Amino acid sequence: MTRLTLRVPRILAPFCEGETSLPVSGNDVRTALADAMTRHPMLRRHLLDEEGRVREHLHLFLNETDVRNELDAATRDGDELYVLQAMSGG
Amino acid sequence: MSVTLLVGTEKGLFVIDSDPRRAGWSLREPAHPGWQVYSLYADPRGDRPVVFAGLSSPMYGPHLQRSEDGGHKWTPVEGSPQFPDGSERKLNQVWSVQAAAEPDALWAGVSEAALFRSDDGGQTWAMNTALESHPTRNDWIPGAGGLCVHTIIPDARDAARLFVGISAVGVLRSDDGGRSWAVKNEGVGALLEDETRKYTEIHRCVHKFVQDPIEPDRLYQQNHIGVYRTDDAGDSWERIEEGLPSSFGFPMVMHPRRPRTLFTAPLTSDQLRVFPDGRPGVYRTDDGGDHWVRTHVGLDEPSYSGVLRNAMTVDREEQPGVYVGTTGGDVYASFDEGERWRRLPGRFPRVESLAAISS
Repeated sequence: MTRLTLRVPRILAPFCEGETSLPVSGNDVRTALADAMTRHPMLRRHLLDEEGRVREHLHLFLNETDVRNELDAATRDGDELYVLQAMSGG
Repeated sequence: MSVTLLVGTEKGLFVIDSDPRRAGWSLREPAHPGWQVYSLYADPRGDRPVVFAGLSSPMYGPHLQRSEDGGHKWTPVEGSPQFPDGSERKLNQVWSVQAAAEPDALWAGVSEAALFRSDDGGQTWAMNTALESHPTRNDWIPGAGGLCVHTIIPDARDAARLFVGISAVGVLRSDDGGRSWAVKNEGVGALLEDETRKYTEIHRCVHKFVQDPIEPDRLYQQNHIGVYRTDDAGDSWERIEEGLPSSFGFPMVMHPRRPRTLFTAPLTSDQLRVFPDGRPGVYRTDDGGDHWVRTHVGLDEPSYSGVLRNAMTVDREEQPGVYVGTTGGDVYASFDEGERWRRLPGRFPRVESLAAISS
């Protein structure tokens, strides 16, 4: 099992014991997210929709790669998985 | 007694505490920064009110927060209302929380329209299946704020009776504790005039409604296209608009103890959701809506803001305070039923909800 870091926006920190940087384990993005959601159950409703998909206005990046639609992407030790929210406007 | 006013906004929760005379008010540090607060509810049962805040985000969806110390410390409710896994319905906001007739029981109304019930003081919630499977359900349409259960009223006299208000469906009443529901829109104008529709009794855009605490067969409704009263617990409604500058508005609050006394805040129209002609007003009736009078002294004028459906409330003091929050971010209070208003400290993001706690 690889060990990586999940970084979430500050607005989600209250559900992660105040942290925005979470050590997680998982051989791919899906299992890494699952590990985070097991440790911090409120994350699930805020990251995934009712059908289990990443919420519409969120992006997931594994290091510099967009993996929003590639949850089976393999992870490596030391990777960083980012949750980014939509931004718009000027 | 002192009052704590919770101010739910588009960007977080703000809390204002009064002194024992409600003369001096001070603002605490903000809570829940970045979250929209569409609903606030202080459950009056028990030694100290338990406060619920319905938080949501366009990006992250909704959840409930719970406070047992007057809004100082908040705990996210892990068992917040949620549609079942795999549901095609999307839970967008929690619009209302309300004590049910039974101890430790509460109701919550959400968007997309559904009603949830908790029997453990708000820790876990289950969907009301009778409303979900109502014969008209597939014909329900949203208002501009979404398809939401925004008002829940347990009857003041009959523990088995319950009313809900859904935009843009109308008022539904249950006489068996939520096991079945009947549409109660007779006399209320339709939002859509479409004779080809299967269910002509729905598509009434109720914005808020209240029950008279002394004469519970009387309820009053601020609708998208009118202001109404029923004298027979919703079986029929009639217009009550004399003295109002407009039939459009969102909030409506009842005097907590005196019959036939209530407040609303009319806006220009559904196309222009601001105070008419820049003249802000909270309108009061003392005769069950037969006549309305404008109260405004102390409201900053001109004002081209408005008031949303959950942004007006009353406290439980002997002389009740009335509180109103505007889309411009101002919060006003009146302690003489609207004769004079004063602006409370702070200028906030768009005010979505208010709740008052006495302590």
